[in-house]
Amino acid sequence: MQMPRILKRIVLSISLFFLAGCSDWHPMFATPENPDFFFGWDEGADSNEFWTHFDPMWGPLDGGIVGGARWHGNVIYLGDALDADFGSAFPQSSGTSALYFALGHTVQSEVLFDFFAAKDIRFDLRIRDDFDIQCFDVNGATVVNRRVPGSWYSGGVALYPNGGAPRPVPLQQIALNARGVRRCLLTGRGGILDDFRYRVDRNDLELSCVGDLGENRVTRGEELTCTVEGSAASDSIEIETWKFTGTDSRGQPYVYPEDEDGPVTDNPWRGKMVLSGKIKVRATINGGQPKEKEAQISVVARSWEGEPVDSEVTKISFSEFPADRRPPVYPSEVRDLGRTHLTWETLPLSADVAEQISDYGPNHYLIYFKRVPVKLSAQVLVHPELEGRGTFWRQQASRQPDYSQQPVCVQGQFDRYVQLVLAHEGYPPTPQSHSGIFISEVRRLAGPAVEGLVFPDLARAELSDEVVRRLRTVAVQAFTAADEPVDRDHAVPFGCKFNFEQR
Amino acid sequence: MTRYMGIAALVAVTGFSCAPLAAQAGERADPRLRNDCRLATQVLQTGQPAPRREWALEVIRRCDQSGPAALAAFWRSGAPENAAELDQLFNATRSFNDRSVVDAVAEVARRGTATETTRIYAFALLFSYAVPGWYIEIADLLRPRETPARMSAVTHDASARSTRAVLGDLRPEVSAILQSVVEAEPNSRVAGAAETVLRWLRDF
Repeated sequence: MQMPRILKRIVLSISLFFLAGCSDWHPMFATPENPDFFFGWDEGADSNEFWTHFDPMWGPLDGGIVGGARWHGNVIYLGDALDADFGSAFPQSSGTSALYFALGHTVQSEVLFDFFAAKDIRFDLRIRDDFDIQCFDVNGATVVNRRVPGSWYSGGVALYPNGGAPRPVPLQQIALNARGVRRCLLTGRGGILDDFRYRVDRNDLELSCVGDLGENRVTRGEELTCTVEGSAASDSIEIETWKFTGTDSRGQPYVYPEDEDGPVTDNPWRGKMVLSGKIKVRATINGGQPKEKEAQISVVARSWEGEPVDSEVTKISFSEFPADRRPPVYPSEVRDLGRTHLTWETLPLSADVAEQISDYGPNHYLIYFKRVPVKLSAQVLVHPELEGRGTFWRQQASRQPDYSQQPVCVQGQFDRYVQLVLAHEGYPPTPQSHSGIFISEVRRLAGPAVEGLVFPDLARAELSDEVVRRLRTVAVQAFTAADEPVDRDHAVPFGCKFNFEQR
Repeated sequence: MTRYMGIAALVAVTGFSCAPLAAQAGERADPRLRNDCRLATQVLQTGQPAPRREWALEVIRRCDQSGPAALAAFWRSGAPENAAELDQLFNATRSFNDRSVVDAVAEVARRGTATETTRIYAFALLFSYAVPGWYIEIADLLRPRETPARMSAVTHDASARSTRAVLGDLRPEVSAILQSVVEAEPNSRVAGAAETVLRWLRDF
């Protein structure tokens, strides 16, 4: 049994009309490829004479999936079916083009909009009896409640004349204007539903994250501000939660907030950033379905150039070493005339060294280094024989001999020699001295070594071990650079030869 | 002055004092020193008289002939257990680049019957033999995480230069000793200290 050609033509033409003329309206059952998409079922208990000649081709449908749309019983799920090819599920010969309700039976259909909430709904309706339409938003609140009058009689003329061919029930275009429609209940006594269309808010979530380096970029330790809004100033945004996901220095995933933290609903969401990662927001616009937006945030390393390192250079004497009461032995070569005791020490992870972020921002709970957690000391010693007027002093010439081809070191210059030794050892530190190179090497290497260290607060002990491991490597490099290379490249410029013989 | 500073000071001064050790008038040439060394050796062997132990550890450092054997024996049989005496023993021992001393210290490092503290000092001493001129913070080994990690080095360290020349590169040997302790030692404190020293060693 075929649907009357005239009816089919009417439905088709109306569908085409809407497709061609209303770009704001999105077809539900129709697509440009198949403008007369249809969707239908029959309760299988149709006894109404008007519809009986349509019924045999439908057969009972009590559930199934067509092109991504689902229905079960009287419930139609339209959520993912906006581009579904419903027509392919039916034989071309069926010629169906609309959703039919059994005439004469009270039918309650529920249309679910699983996609983001529609702003306006409209559809075509051919009904004999009155139809009740009630729509609800995501919270179950009624946003549409109206009765559409039936067309059992049209202008006083019976549509179903006895013994004659049925006359088409006039088509009504039903438009429901409401925001946030989640589902509609259609209750009536049979008819044809067709050409569902929807219109959604054009407003979309707009997420913007700005750091000191611009959009989505921030220097480690600086603040990032993320704001979400709709496209219209009047849009009402309700944030369900923000979420940051990244990977800490251990390679472990870091997420904030976790479930136990509860949702973060600030707008804007801001905080210090130390870890690159993804910021995601889940929010509703004007009470619609929740939507998500995300942004990839890049945390850029600090340069550490010019950053100070705790260091102290002192000159000490043997008398300041009560642990050893013996006089030092007589010097036997130039390198015995001075010495520097270099010490490297890590600092405790106090708040001014390793800051724990606690601003409830994206990197809440993370620890990073604000300063290089190291302290250096250099203790410079000059051999007492060079500083005093003892045996070593007496062994040197009192004046430059006339016959000597190579200058000899003389007694009258001892104060200058002491100054040269101090300069070589690095008191005060200079770029050519042992202590100076030691400090500058640590300063150059230590910052970058700790830059990327970002651990959660619960892994403080691990962080402590890791920073020691990294800075230990730095210490070895700095010690090595400050030792023999200094003697080789920046030898003490005495300009004379000492007499190391001891008589 | 902290224990560390004491050791550091001794180490620094030892650098000055040890460089020309061979050039000093040794036991053979100095009858008085020879006599002191004999007495010091006796004190270290017997432990008596107890008040003279500190004196003995000071003297033995200058005993170029009898010192290494006396110290090796002392490590094996009478190594002290308290940190103050171990500091002295550490510095006295470090004055000698002698294979018998290294072997004795290594034996204590491996020996499970030695006290925790004694073994940890042995680890630190082995480190300074393996990486001459570098000194590890013993307090950091004794009380990990309670004290900051610390390391020191001394420029113009004649002792360090002679260590490598006399004993060769001891890093592989010391690493193997420490690794065996890390793997087999049931005492977590001792194993942890060995692991810390081993980590330092790997950076060189």
